[in-house]
Amino acid sequence: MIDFVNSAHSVKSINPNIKAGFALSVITACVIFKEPLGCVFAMFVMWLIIIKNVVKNDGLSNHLIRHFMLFPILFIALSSFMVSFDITDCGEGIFSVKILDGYFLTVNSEGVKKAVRLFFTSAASLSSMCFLSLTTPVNDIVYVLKTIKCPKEITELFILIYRFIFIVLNMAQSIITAQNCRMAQRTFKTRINSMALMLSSVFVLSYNKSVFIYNAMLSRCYSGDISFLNVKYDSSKKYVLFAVLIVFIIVLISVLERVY
Amino acid sequence: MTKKEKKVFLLTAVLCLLFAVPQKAQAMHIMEGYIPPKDCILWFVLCIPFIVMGFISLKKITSRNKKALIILSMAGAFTFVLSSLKIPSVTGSSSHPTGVGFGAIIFGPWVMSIIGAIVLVFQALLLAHGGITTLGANTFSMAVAGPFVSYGVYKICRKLKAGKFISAALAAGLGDLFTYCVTSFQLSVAYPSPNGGIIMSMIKFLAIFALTQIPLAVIEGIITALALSAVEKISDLDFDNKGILNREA
Repeated sequence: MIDFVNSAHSVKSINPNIKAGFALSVITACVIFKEPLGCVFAMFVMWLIIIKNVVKNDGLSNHLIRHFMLFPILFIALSSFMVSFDITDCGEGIFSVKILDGYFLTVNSEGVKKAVRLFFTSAASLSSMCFLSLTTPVNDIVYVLKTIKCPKEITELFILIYRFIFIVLNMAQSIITAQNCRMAQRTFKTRINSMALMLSSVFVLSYNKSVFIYNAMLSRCYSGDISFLNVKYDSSKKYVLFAVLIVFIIVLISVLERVY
Repeated sequence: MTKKEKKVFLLTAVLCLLFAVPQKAQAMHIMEGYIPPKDCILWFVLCIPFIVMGFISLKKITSRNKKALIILSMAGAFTFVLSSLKIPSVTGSSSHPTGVGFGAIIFGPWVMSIIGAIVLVFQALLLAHGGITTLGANTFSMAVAGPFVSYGVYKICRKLKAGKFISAALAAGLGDLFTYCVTSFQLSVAYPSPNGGIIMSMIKFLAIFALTQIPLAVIEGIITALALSAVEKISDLDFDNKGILNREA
């Protein structure tokens, strides 16, 4: 689904190194400064780019937005809330409840501030990550890995794992559907048993499939090297300037927020 | 606070904490931007020796036999799919296995560190679980600590003449639990309690994780053991000595 979305927008043609560099720089700036205003600006820019270029008015895009933004944001909110709690031996703070003999579950203003900062930092970093995921297909990530001189074995493993994920997922889903048709989810015991049987079948089938794929590759002169086609990307300076400008603004807002 | 207010607050807090108890795959992963930069660097550095050793092991295996790269890639895809499948949970919610025990028993812990790290990158990119800045921390807990404990427990159990089923169940269950303990430790180092320090914070995170993770670890242990014995029954693979890779070498 991500591949489908990735193949149908204008940002796709931009050099993946620029996109990856931009996303990672924004994440780094947000994580280092942890200033809510800077993070809100980063989120705004990232989602503006995604909505303007990637999201179309169809069910697929809406599903992706839900999957990539709403659920993780909800999880971040709950996890950040968890950080605001503290266990102390003195019941001081905004709220304080005795939980054990001599111990209190407390929430103080410092904890709340920490949780708010964490929420915005995490949400902004996640938005940058979504930008990278939704604008850069995995094949382009391989291009980035090659640029940073990642060892050949790891790059090949990376691309092969990506190709095989869909084969294995398809097998697992077919088996689960077949099991559901036979009421395999009826009781807890049958659920456990069918899960184990499904895993073992998928494992053996994947192993056999890998042997077939290896034979197919051998018949096409595979000698240990997998060659990929080099695609020409748009590396205009305007994209680099845009990325530098956005990162500079995030840093500036964060510094000003910290000072004042 | 009045007594009634206290009761309402306690109930709300417990409900919120239960709601915040990670019951989906994100639980095992520390989210993007969740830990401070120094912690990100620390966990990245701690992972380096394991990744280097994993890379050496991978290079050795693939130079001996080119087929191993394809099998390991399939193993990576299998681990990814395994960690994205829902397993039955006693709490009624859907939860996800870590899959580290299964992989470590079959392929060994060194190779699993590399495969695990790549799988974590895919989980961050394709599922928005985990992240790039937290990749070091997540790799350390899920691709290093979990597989090593699983593999160690399996080997020790087998040396003590325990059956394959019991050994695999214990290995997967304890590997799963240890992964969560390491994640709790990582979170407590990142967010120590202002009063009780890292230890008090770790107690808080462990208590929250324990609610669902202990039953989950037991279930994952049973499922892994059942799956491994079923694999042995329907194929002629032997896992006691990293069967697949040795057989293909």
